[in-house]
Amino acid sequence: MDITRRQFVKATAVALASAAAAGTLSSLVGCASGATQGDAQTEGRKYTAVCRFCGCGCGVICEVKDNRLVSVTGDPDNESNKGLNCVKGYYLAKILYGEDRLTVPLIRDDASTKGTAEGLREATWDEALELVSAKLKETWKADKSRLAFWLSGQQPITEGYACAKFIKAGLLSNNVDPNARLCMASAVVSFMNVFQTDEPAGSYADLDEADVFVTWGANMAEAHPMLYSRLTARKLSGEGVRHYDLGTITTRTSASADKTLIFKPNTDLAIANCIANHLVQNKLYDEAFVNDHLQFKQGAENIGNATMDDYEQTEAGKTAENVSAITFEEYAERLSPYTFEYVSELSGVAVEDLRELAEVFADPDAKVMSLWTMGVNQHNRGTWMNHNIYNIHLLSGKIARPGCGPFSLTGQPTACGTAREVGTFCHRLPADLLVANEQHRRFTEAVWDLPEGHLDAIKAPGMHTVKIFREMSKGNIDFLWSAHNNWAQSMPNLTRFLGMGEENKGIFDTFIVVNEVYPTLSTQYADVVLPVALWVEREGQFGNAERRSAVFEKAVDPPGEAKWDLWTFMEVARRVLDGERIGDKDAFDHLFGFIYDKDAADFKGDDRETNRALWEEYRIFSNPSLNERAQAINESAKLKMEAKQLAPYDEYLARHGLTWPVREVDGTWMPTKWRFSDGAQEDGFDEVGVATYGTPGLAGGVSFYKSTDMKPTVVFRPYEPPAEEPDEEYPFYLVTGRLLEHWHTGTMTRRVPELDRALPEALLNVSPEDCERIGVADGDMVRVRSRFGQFDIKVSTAGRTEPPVGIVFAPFFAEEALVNLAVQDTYCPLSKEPDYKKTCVSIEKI
Amino acid sequence: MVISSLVVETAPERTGEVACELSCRSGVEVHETNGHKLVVTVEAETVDDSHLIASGFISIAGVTGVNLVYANFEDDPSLHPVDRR
Repeated sequence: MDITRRQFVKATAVALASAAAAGTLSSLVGCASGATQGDAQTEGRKYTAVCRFCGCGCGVICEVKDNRLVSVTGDPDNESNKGLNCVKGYYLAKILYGEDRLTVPLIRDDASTKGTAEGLREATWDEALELVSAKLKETWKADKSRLAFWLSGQQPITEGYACAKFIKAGLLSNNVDPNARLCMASAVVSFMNVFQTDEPAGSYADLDEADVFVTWGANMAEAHPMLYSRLTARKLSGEGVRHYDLGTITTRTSASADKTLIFKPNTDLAIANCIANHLVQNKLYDEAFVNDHLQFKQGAENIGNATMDDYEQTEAGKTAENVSAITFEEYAERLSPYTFEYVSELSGVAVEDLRELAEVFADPDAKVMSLWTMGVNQHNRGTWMNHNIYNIHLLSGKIARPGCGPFSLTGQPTACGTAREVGTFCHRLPADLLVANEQHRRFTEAVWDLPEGHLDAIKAPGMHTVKIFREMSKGNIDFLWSAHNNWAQSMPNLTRFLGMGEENKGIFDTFIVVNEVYPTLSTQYADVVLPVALWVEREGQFGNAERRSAVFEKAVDPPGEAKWDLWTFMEVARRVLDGERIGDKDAFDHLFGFIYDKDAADFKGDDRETNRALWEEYRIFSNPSLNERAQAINESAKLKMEAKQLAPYDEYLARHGLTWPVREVDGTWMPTKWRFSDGAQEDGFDEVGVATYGTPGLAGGVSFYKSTDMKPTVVFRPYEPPAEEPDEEYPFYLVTGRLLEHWHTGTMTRRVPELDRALPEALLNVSPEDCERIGVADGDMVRVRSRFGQFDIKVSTAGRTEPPVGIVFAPFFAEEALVNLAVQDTYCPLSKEPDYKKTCVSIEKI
Repeated sequence: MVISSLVVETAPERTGEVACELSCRSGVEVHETNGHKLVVTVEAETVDDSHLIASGFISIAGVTGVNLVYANFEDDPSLHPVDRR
């Protein structure tokens, strides 16, 4: 860098940070979209992008020179982060430039080498694709119940959409699930149960207006740093703004909270009921809101635990989802045992703290925002706990209004946009539609131009994630294809699923395809590894926790022979569907002929044109008026598909992301910050939705127009204990989680040397009292054993979390201390999401 | 040389002392104060070094938030060259 360039870069750096501090960054950064700005000698081409590390969905601007990323700037025009990034954003470019990027296809000829770093050889794309296609077609034709796809909350929207279309409409299979099952499924099922539509009513803007924050089982300071920064900024700028942190361990988030309430595992269910009981018994709830908006139910109870493979065939398993209507008075009666005294004894939280928290919800003027992530979702009663948080916000009317609302945070950049919205779950179709619902299938057939009844073959949901891996371990899966995930590290009960026990060796017989960017534990079990483009090496879209869909542009080419994931799926799809018909048309061309030329083995247009074409088809789901057949079904079946309305593709490029529903008002597409809330669309309220489907003038100025009878459901959910509780043999609860420097399994962040140096190894956080009791000290290696498996790890009493006596914590980013070897695969019976937070273990010094 | 800029947020009553502490650190310059926010640049040989410096800010008493705004790494010698088509 010469002196002129250096001066220019430094001046740019200062100007950008200065503008960010003043809130005027937008005027400096300007529009990107591949255009050079200023002197091309000094400034590269700029592209709009979205950070790909976590669920916050922060916007960034990428600068490229000579096909190489040279700088990143926070994107001021992306409303999710307004130009500010966290430490992970610092390293966005570096993840592209790790030394061991996968750049050529790899094939394993000898399955006995599975589970080792050896055995993969280089291959041509033709050889790899022919092999994958032949294995998939063989399995599909022989018994399609024995194939499975495991996709991801990191897979861009159009890629997930195309995969879902291939698998559901092309292969007529529902054996597809995303890794979002491991983090968000409890939130999804609860949203659908309560509101009959997925995803929060509010947005990140609530963080700037709330008076009280309540975090439930969420270490936001580490897992969602930018959002936590907005929370702390609000605490500084607002008078008397408070933060209550609830969890089973003390975290960095607790450190800055005004009050931390540490509760015994699973008693969060009771604490929420205690708050609801206080509101109801003392008539401190919002009576008008309750009368206008709510219906009440109770569900099946004593539903046992989904630890054994046959749980879903047991009586408890078959009836776990049952609910029945009750009156408000009956609901009050069910709550009545949850007194402060009873819940204090159960949870270990002081009566005065419970009362103080309950009074927060009783204050009609307080704007309260609840935030939660894995502590609530990865829970043997995860769906129930989501319900219980909604219950107290619904009873108090603190929902769908600025600064007020229950807000479910997400763990991955597009768990919402892809896994949840385009339907890569085993029971879903795009846009909240369900395979089991006849009208939903008819509507989907209309959008995809399929013969009526074509999708009846998939009316039964397929295998959810844990079931896929359980069946694989038993030798019942012949073909598995995974993309954008690292299941060999992130799945629970890896002792079983990786075939490390004396039985359940199925993984060694399953033909496994892994799309990856770096070698991982999953590639060690792959028969074929397909090297693919990472992040801005192709164009894609993420949808974050606040319903914001945003495009990241292609900025650089992939390395070596690495290819766009979507190309790999198209190449296999055209081979597998060769000779197949849909109606009287060639199946592949009918599904994908609008984007792909199978004779040329390539897309018809460039990344932009391909993404735009896919988006415009996907957009019909939420804009049924674009398709006459779909519109007729939308009207006759009262589907209200416009409730999740998306804008044309180019609007997202121009606007750097928009929160749905996006409404066209006088020729301008306007986003919605507060669903169901009446008010001016231009101010972020859901004016068009309420006017079209809802009832104006109800309590709180909201109308839940997607809910049955326009009334969300308060479902009474009792306290029930964890799936297993400490005993003499396994006296500790093991909690797993994430830390700031590394995300999930560390596939990308551990390629960043400094991040790895900052937090090089996973440590088991143990309280000093427990260390003394079991005779271990800082730095000692211990063996952690559970009923499911064991792992070795180093002990720390000065780690990033401070567990109370009886609980230990370990992160799961490190493959050398593979904590999931010992974690239970017991899942919430309703959401099928595993409980990673409460495995009982023993600890022994080695 | 990698050049990056950040907005460091502080407790309002400690902005001055945080600015002093930051200014003492190698490669760090404080350019201006905007309320409780400080405009800071970091100059270091590599992104790794830059991160090492910047990630230390959060442990300074009075710092409430560290936000990265811009990072230019075109001259980082540690970045691996990748053959791109």
